[in-house]
Amino acid sequence: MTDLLGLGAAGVRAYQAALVVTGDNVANADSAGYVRRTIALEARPGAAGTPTSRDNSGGAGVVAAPVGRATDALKLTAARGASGDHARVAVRGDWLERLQTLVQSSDLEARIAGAFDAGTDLAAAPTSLAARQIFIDRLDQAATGFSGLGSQLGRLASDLDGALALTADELNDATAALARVNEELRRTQSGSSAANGLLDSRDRLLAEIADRVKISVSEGPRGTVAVRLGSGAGARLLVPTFGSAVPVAARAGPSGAELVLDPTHSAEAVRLPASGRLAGLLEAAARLAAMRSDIDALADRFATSVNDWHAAGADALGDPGTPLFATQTLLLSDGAANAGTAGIDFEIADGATLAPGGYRLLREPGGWSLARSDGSASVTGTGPLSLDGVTVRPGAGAATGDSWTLLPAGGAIGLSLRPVAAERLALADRYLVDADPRNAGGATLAVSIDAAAAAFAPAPPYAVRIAAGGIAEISDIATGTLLASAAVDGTPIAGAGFSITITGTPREGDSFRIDVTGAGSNDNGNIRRLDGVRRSAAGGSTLEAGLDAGIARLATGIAETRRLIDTASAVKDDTARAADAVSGVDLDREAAELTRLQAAYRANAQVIAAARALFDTLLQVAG
Amino acid sequence: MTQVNTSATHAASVDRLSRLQARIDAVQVEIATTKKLGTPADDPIAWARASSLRREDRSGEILARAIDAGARRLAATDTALEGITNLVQRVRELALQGNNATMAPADRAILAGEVGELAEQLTGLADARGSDGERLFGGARADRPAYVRDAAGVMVWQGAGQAPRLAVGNALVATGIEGPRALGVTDAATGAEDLFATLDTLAAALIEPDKTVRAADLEKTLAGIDGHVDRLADARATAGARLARLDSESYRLDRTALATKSDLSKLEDLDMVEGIARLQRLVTVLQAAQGSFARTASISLWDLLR
Repeated sequence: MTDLLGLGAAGVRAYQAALVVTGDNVANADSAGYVRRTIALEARPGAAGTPTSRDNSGGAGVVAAPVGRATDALKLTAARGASGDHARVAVRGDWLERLQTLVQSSDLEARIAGAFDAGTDLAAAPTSLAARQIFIDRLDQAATGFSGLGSQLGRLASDLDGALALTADELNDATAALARVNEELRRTQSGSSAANGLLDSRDRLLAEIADRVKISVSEGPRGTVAVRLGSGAGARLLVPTFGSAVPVAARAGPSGAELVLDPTHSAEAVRLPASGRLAGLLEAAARLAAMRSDIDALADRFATSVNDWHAAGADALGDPGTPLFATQTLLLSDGAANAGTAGIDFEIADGATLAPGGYRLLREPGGWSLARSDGSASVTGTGPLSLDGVTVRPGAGAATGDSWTLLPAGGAIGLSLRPVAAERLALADRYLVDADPRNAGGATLAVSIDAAAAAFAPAPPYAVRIAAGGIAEISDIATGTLLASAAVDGTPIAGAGFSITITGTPREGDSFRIDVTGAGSNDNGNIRRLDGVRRSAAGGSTLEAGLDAGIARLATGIAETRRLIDTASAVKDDTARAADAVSGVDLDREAAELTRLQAAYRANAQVIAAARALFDTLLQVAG
Repeated sequence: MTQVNTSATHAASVDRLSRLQARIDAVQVEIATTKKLGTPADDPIAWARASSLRREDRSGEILARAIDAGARRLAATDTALEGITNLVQRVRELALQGNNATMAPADRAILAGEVGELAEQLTGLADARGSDGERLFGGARADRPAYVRDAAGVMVWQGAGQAPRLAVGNALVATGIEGPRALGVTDAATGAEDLFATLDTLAAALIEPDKTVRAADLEKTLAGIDGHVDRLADARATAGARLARLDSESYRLDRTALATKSDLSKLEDLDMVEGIARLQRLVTVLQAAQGSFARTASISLWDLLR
């Protein structure tokens, strides 16, 4: 009878433990990283008979085995990998979409087209002040389009750097936490509820790490794990089973952003496997860097080609065109501890070579000093200061000790329209050519600017007459002096600051006149050539097609990433579901389990009641 | 035993629903903007093509505007040349009348006076301006009078170069006629006279008292006038040919613009019927998915445990 009581008591205890496990499962049905607990009930073997005790033929009842966790290591690994793959493409897609939005909303393409279109309009009305003003305005819009996009891309790049640093920090936190969990696990008895909780934390941390970088995991004693970056023989250890985790950091490398292992001790750049959020961020950073250098190159090309074009023409006052765009600027930043309110104004001279390290402006007692940041040169004074072609005009209201830094910037950020008056637009050719209406031959004469040509003293107008034997005679119209003569064979004839090319077949006696354009001309020779700048395919494509190609490249990358996100998210869902099918809590199953265990518990309680009844009966018989 | 009713299953269903919702949003944006292409990434190739088509379309419009301005200038040039031609015809009549030996000297003086008037009128016509206020016969120097009388009393062309040229196709079309091409050139060496000089010579010949000298001068002048008539006709023909060239170019531009616009529309514009049908289908699918999710998720064994 005590046997029966013992059996009932063991059963009640075992089923109570099982009920507790089920209750725990139900309570944690929605806890992230919770793995369903399992409990197995085992028959307790009866003790063999001894000389002092008889063989217990009825068995010794039931006992609850240690609580286990329902996991499948392979499915968990698959789920972790899929989640990392998805995180990589999702985060890359996110940043690339932001990049695309910036590029698209800058409207750069339309602004460049607008500048060239205004040039075409201007070619039809070269003397119209309104058309000139519109052209200047459109050039300004194109320049601010470039510089605005340049600085926005700069901000995006620093945001991205921030995200990289943050993600690396999160990864470091997770690996450090995992190293601590490893340590705890070594001290904790397997199968205890504390150990199970630690294993849950371990799996959750592994999932967090795998979300950021691709890892391979090998299990050590008592559930401790070693985590390696990537897989294969050369994979670097991130977290050892015993010891502290190796930190990582993101830094700017020679070929864009890269990941560095152990940055404080033996910094070493590692190739990141293509999975995890960090990989996605690094890919986005590379794409962003490529887009920035594309835009910078386009800005330089736009500014240089428009400046060159403008220099070849004559403005409304008859002077050669001056550069329209400035291609470099200084980024001014106030010192963090500035107490004064002075505004700083600066100007960069044409062709100035700026110190790459920038400049530092300091308010000293009774004056100012402007120095290169590397200290190799400096100037001091009370008024405007000039160094390397940079003139700085400090305003009033500075406090002694206030400082400013000026960092040079080129490319898109450095592009700006220089102040230009409408009549200073060089739309006309520098020289006007007219053929005598009585010319019998079909030849044309073209003049091109050639600063090196100095065949005779410049004193236009000139007459070019075709003499016997196809010889072109160039003479000064005012004095009639013969200046030069050369054979007409299609090769350029050097003049004074220009060269002449006669094409076609001139007849003897044909003549041409060459004069400097002078003020007030309505010639449109130079502005017409702006279309040539637009259509020039130097470097493989036209300016606008180059921009289109850059955007299309980005767009293709995004379209591909979108497709990858779709598949990666399907795989992620699938593997997560597969892992959850083992480890997750299915409420229906727990409900069924609960019913079953409750019934068994009640039955065991009934066994105790029966044993008590038997005992009572026996006592009554004895009494 | 595989478990189904887990939190991952639940999350996946919700995820599917929100993805459907996102697709509906995208179609809605397409319908609202009537454009298929929202961002370049929607279809990079179509976007790049559309971008170059848009540029082509825009530069076509601008070229059409430039052609209009050039055509106006050429038409104004033609009108001025017509005026000059009529003037030269009248001069010719006067020369013929003056060549009549029986005419009294006083009458010839009157004719000479009229020639002087016509010379004044010619100066005005040679200085004609287009609708933009630019001289038509000054070449690339439209800011000053095309002809000015120098110290010796000879009319000298002040222009230089050519009138603004239009880049049409691969060629340049000058949108004006330079003075010397219409009015001729004075050259002492060859005895050539421009129209101003011819008028001066005629006026002088008409009041020439010596009968023989007068007759010879008038004959010579008449020959010169015939040359001017021919040159003016040539100049008008040139202006007309250039106008015709611009006309045909602007016709070509119109047709190209139509083709460009229709290509652009094919690439960019949303087929409304298709778009709305797609939206309708997606909404139906979403409703069905929401309904089935709500039903399956609400079934639970726990409800049956009493």
